[in-house]
Amino acid sequence: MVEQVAKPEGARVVIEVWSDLGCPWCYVGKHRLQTAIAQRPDADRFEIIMRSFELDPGAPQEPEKNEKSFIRAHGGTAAHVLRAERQMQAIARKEGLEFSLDRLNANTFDLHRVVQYANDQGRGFEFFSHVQDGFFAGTLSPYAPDTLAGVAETVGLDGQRVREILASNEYANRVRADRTEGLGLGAAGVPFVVLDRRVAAPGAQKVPVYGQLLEQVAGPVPSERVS
Amino acid sequence: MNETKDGLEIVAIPSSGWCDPDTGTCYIDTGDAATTVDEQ
Repeated sequence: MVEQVAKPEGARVVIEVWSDLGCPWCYVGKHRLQTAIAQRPDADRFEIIMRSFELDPGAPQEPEKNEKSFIRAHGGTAAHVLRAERQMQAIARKEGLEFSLDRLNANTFDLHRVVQYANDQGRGFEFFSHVQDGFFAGTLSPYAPDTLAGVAETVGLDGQRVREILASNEYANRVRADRTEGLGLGAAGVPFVVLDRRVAAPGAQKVPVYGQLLEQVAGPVPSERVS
Repeated sequence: MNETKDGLEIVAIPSSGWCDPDTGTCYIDTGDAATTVDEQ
């Protein structure tokens, strides 16, 4: 890695995560990143900001079974999709994560517009994370305005404001701009995690790798410092 | 070797898996081959 100077002790570190809802590696990667952060005694230094990255902008508005959406977008067979899903489910479960095979996919543009609003309120990560966890656990349908408004209220946002946003086209340009920016920064894989605008990791890395990147931008964990 | 683009260092460590930003297709890095796992 390129040698870089870590931020001063205690200084805030911003971690931007380009992500999409249906992306299973975004889900697994998010939990790994959280684990790496939680392993540091200075975990409260790190702020995660969600950035929008639509992986399937042409997805229909109407939810469809995961199998159907896969075959629509990429071809293949139902058996192929099921095998792949079970593979991913095994990985997720091994890490203690729920992973329902009965997920419904649809266009995520509107969700991202709400994420942008939530970011403005300082709750973007909490909001998206809540939706994402529920989506993969199979306990939440993220395409209903009332559901998103309910999640928003759960994380301290204004549910009525979310309904207004969903009924309008607000934040549309920011969603598109996020995707463009991510690609411009070199997002060769999603999730795309950018730490302090100094180092970036495409795809879901393992916890020790995220830990190494945190150390690179924030310095070693305080307990490991040698005086 | 890591690549640096406009001052941003992009790590070259292979990830466990990723979704392709252009196609939405997702892959698992099995160490010797990539396997399609899911979309979007």
